[in-house]
Amino acid sequence: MTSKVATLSEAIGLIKDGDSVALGGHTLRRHPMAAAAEIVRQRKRDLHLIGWNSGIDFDLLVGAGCARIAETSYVGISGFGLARNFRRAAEAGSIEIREHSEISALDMFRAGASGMAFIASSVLMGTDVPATNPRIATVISPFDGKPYTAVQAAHPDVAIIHAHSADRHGNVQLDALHWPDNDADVFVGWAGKTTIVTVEQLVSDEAIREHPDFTILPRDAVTCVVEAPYGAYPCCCDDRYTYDLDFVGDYYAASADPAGFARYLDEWVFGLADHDAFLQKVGVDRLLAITTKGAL
Amino acid sequence: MAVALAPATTEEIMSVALSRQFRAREHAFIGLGTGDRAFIYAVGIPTVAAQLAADRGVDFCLQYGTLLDPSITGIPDSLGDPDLLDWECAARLPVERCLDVFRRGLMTCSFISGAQIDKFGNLNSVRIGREGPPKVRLTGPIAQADHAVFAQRTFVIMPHERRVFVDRVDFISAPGHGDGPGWRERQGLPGGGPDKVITDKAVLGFDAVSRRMTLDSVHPGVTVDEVVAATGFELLIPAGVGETPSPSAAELAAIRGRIDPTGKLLQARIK
Amino acid sequence: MSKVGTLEELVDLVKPGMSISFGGFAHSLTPLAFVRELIRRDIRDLELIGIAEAWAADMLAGAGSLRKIVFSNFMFEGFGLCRNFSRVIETGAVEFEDYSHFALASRFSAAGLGLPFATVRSLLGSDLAGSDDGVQRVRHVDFTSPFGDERVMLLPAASPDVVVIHGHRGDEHGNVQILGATAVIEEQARAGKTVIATVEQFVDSAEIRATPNHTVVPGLLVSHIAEVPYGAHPTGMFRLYDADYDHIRQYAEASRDPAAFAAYLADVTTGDHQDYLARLGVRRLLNLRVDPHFGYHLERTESGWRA
Repeated sequence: MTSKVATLSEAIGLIKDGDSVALGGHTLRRHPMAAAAEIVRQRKRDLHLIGWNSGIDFDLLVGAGCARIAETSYVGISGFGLARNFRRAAEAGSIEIREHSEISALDMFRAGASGMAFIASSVLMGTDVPATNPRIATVISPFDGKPYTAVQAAHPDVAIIHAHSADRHGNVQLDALHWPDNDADVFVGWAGKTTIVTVEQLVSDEAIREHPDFTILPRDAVTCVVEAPYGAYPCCCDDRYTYDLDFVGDYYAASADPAGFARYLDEWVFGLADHDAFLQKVGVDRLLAITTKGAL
Repeated sequence: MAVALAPATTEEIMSVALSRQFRAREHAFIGLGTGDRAFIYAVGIPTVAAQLAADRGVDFCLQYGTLLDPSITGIPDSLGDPDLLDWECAARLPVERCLDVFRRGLMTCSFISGAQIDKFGNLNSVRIGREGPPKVRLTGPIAQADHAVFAQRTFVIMPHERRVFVDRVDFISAPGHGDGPGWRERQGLPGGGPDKVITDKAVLGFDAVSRRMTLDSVHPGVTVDEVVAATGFELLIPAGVGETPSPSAAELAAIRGRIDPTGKLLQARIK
Repeated sequence: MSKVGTLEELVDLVKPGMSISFGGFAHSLTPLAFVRELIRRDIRDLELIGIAEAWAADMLAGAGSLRKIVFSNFMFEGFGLCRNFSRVIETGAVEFEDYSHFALASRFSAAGLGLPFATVRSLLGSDLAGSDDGVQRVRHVDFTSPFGDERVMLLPAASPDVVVIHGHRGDEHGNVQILGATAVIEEQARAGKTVIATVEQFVDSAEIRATPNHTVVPGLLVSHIAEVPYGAHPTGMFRLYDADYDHIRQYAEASRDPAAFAAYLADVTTGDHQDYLARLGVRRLLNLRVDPHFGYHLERTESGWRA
């Protein structure tokens, strides 16, 4: 079996300018933030971002000028408010926004993961959403003659999710305890033409095979695996660690204007060689403070 | 123990008013949004209302995000994953199953909000400004669109302000009664649309024939004129609009002593 | 009164001249954050009654903190002698008493059971206890069993003034849970006049009660407890983090020379434990993570994993 282990830099190097890139996670939960920072560091451009419930991941990439299209059901910084970089770009008309509801966003990944061309239902009927998104169309059912909304499958050029563990062959697992809103990642991962998975820890084959029921993506669905501890930080990551709201608050303040955000990027992305350097700058104390206790 | 209770707050009045809407055998859905006033409206008030209804013996199934029938008063101190995973409940549904509950029409009522609402109860959480780049970009349709399409009835909880209550929303992200009678049927929407709108000033409903928003009652201390002034469209005002019932001493004691003793829900003291 | 304190408050309990014993075995389980704080305070004149805590013994010996060492065996597994410890014995700077492992454990056991002495045979026939010329190397009494003419040796119960242990998890009641091999910690804890615990993590008491089989030292024995993450570094904690062998190599090298060792000590005792961890850095601590199946760190290689 060939090893699928890659460095973060190698993995993100697979992305080409103009690619469609799906990012896993939900609001302030388990977004692949280490990967997003590396996309910024490698100055990717004109990406078509796809998510189902997006947040600081989309805001970072839009604020850094990496995106041309944002397709998702939500971009916000949870309790802090609107995503300011995203808002600025939208109001300046510098990105195209393709709207979704939660169900239609999940449907595009579910269809992509399942090999269906589209999923038809009554989702989004009566809303102005379909007009914003070429992936959404009205179809007449041949069975009852009634109109339905069809959501076309998504096959992102690159799908990136963050998970808990993987073996070197690319079998990816989540711990027994994981928050279901993050499980859309399974569809996201399966839908990608290229699928990059960052994990908290690369583990032995034995550790994976001890709990085969925890495997969410088998190795043939995965292009490469990257060890990125605290790879969702400052988002929370199931029962491993919670979010760092102080960090998010500082991010939110920095994103108030373009100059402040440019300084943020210099300090926290461009000024740091890699994810390790980022973690070192965050510091042991801060990481210990968010890490879940009590697991034996 | 006799305690002199401080007068009911607006949020308490809203919670008690909403609690009277719960019916037995319903499947009610509350989203797990975060953040300040939006949290109070989207999560806090529906949560207190649900517990008050449960206290009265109304037997309904309650779903929070992907959790089924969690202990309402056991809502954690933060909405970070580790705390949410500690929240004791009957079932933690896979996310797709949770959304299937909506699509199959099993969710009978839900609680939603937005940045704009119009006289037919259409909601907007996408953009301010109709054409070209938005004047203000909002968060997006999220699940509100799904609730509004599929739930048998939705309850809208919003601040009552003129810029929020507009004649026509700039973007329909969650459909109400569209442009009036028969619209939802013509669109093929399976759900029933908005039932009540509960604001910090009043309880409002929708006229059975015209589907336009009507004033049901004003909260204690609020006048009809104040409601009209805070509404950017012509509100239907039936004769003899009454006052929203004040919470009873027992309800206030329950809210303050047992349901929300730390202000997590009605004062958004949650992380 | 709450048993919970800070590391600094716990170290306040140790006074010059006291007898002291530490948990730990080979490169694991040793309360070294506590030891570093003792050295930082320059608390001296201690009598170490040590059974397997090579790390604590060697660091304290090298820091000049010890007046006397009562012990069975100290060595750095895989790295040879404990050089600071050997040096203070060889120069005569520190008094010492040699025991067999079991004989010393029996002295702890006797104290823990409230017995006046331990009855052992481990020291018979060797030069450890004394020789026929009447020299008493360790305090003992040759005794004939009252049930026959069998020869035994009586050793006094050993009750250190302070026993310090480090565990995986604990609660505010002082319950301490330890995973993996625990060496002589139970006997030491029962023998101590005052038992102090540091733990990697505080957890809710309900969590402790849900897993009572992991509770090695119950709260009734523990008078003070502090949460000290990575409190055993550079020794390891089974299933949490592995021993830091790079650090151990550096230590072993520095301990060959008093000046180099003084420099090492100055470095690791600058600032508090948080500063110590910050200097180690995130990557170094992450590199100590263990494999969930094997419970210890694996090194990834081109062809697979290596222990």
